Amino acid sequence: MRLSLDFMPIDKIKNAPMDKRIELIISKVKEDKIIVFNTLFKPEEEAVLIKKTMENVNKRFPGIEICSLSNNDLIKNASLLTKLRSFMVKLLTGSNQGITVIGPAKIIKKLKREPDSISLLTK
Amino acid sequence: MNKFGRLSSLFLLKRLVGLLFGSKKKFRLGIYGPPNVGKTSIANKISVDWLGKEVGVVSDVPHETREVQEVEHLRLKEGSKELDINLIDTPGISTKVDYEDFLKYKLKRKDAKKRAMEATKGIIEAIKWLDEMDAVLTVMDSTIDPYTQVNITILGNLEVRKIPVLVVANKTDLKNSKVQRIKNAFPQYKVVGVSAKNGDNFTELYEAIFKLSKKVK
Repeated sequence: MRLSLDFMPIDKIKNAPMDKRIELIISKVKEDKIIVFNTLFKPEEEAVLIKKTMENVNKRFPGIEICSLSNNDLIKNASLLTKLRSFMVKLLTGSNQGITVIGPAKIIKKLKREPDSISLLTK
Repeated sequence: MNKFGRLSSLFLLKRLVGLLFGSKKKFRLGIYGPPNVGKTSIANKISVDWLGKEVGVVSDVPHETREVQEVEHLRLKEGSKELDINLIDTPGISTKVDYEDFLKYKLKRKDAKKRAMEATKGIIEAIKWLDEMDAVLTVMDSTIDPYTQVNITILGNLEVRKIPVLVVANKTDLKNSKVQRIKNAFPQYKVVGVSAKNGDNFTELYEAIFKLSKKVK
């Protein structure tokens, strides 16, 4: 099976209203695309994403798999300087640093959070 | 005495009665978690212990609870203190519902599809009910890796809403149960290990619920 992995910079969609952003994500996932975001979603956004996903579930679209990894997880074993740099960036930009992977449950069997990576198991 | 004065006196009187004869705190306690972690088994055990009746049906098939179920006026007692709880058992939250998964449990295709549709509605309902909760027991299966996106999403949403949380690590009767793994994954939360199947450690759970009630506004 051919897998399509799309990188979506958060800058591209951050100004859109939450509903529109989530609609876009679901429409991409329904096209069997796995999307990688350079951000963490807020808990409220994830709750809306689950709600909207459930509204879209049918026999061809059983839902999504989602997994995120925060910068804190990624730099857990990094040098003090890297940690400090990351802290300063977060302080200055206020951004939720990390990565989030969202894909179709039809294709992905499991997205697993490892200490500093995300592993993807397909069906 | 004006209206404000009368209300203040009434409030003080209620506080005094509470101090002398024990207080009764009323609140809504939700039970949240992914499917098949034993939410209804825990709700049943609590409800049978304090009210003498069960909340819902338990099954090995995921998404057995597909509607929010509420039991009113559970009176938990600890010494002179009493809690008046409305216990709310919610459908398991997940990011996917595949009707084909139910076929493995020997459900007919038609029944599996129906169950899947009901399960999706149940998940939406469970999320909507988050705003109605005063405190929540987040139930996790102590035999599997707890650091899942669904657990993180549930805890994150409760934190954003400032709803007090107690993590309940269920299935401690099983050989591969590791309560410590849940404590390590979520060190900021109080974790109580229980076995709803055997009724183990519910005394500690009730003590923790009393402590949790102090955080309810």
